[in-house]
Amino acid sequence: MSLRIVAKLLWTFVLVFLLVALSQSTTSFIYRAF
Amino acid sequence: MSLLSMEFGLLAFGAVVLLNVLEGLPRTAAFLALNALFVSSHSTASGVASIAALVLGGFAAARLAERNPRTRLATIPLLAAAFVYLRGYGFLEWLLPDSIAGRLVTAAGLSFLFFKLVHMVVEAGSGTLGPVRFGDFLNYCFNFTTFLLGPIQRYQDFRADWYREREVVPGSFEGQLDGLNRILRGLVKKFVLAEFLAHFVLSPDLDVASVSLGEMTWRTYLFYFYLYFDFSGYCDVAIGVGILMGVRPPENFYLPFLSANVSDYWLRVHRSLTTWLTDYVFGPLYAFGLRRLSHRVPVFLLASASLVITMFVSGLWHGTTPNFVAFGLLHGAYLVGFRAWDALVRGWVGKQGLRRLRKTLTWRALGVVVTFHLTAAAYILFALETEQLRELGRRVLQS
Repeated sequence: MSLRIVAKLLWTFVLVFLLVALSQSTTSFIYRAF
Repeated sequence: MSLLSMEFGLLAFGAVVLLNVLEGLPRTAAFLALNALFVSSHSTASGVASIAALVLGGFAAARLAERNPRTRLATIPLLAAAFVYLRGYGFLEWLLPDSIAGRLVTAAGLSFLFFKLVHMVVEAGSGTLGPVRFGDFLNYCFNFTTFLLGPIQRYQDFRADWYREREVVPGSFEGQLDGLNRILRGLVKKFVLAEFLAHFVLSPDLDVASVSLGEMTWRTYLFYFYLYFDFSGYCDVAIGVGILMGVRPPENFYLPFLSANVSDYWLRVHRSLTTWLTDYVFGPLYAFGLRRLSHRVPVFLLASASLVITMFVSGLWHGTTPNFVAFGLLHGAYLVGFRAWDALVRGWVGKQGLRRLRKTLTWRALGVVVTFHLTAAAYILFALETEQLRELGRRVLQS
């Protein structure tokens, strides 16, 4: 697997994390904390 | 059906699988069923019936135009009248009796559908549409990725993708990953960034009388960013799902905050709308003016009038209240002002000089700053209700 694909996979996880953690529309734990 | 809902996820996943696995008629039927599910979830029963009637009318108009292009002179105004009625424009209350004007239906996606239909009819009459099968036509009109908010895809591109005449995305793991990341990027833009900014922007709920002018100013700029993240995020999801399905909608945004002038701005914001308006409103108007009026009216005036009328149509299409018409006219004035300024500078430094000037960092930076403020200010008309605008105007004049 090339380094570029690894970087893109990491980026996928970052985007999923941002969505789950920060979106008010999801059951975001950051929003719930406030 | 929210983009973040389980229903939309299942719909998109189903479309990706079915469109990649099935062939021929079952593929067309499966996509049509999914599109029908999406469209019906956003409209009332009468809305769905109205949308269906509009689409069938559009199909008949395209067929008529193929045989006799002159029929477009009657069918396009008829489609426009049906669109205006179904969309429920405010001025209908003055034109129509209450019994008719009051029976407006709730149907989503009409604006984009109308532009797709006009495109079909015009191109059918020009002989540039190519073969149209009824099932493909329905799927083009109802394509759930672009039905509500665009981007406005051209039928020829839809057909090329549908019949795999061009490669939408390399069939590799990396290609699929790019599609998935595009969806996720769109969701983050819409449901993290836009959702966060939504708390601080101009809105119809804002009490304009109690907010300072300074706060109004930063809320205006934030509204610009909010709208960008919200709309371009939606388009990213549409394009990402389209990549995975194999029917890719066109790109619609390209960093509008870096626009060097208002003309450049409209190529970076809602680009598919700009190209539609250029092809079907500005182009024909300007060509008509040059053909019939250029011996009496200066070309600059013809181009300016065509621009203002085009932006007036754009404003009307964006919304049903006078604010949107004002938004369109203001952008028309911006574009005319830019053309006049451009001509003035060209007069001072010459054609070559202007070309050199445009390449300098200072000139470009100046253009970006001025364009950013002008376009952000225009969004006040987009974001606030008429009453709020009146109150704001009163306060600005008092201060």
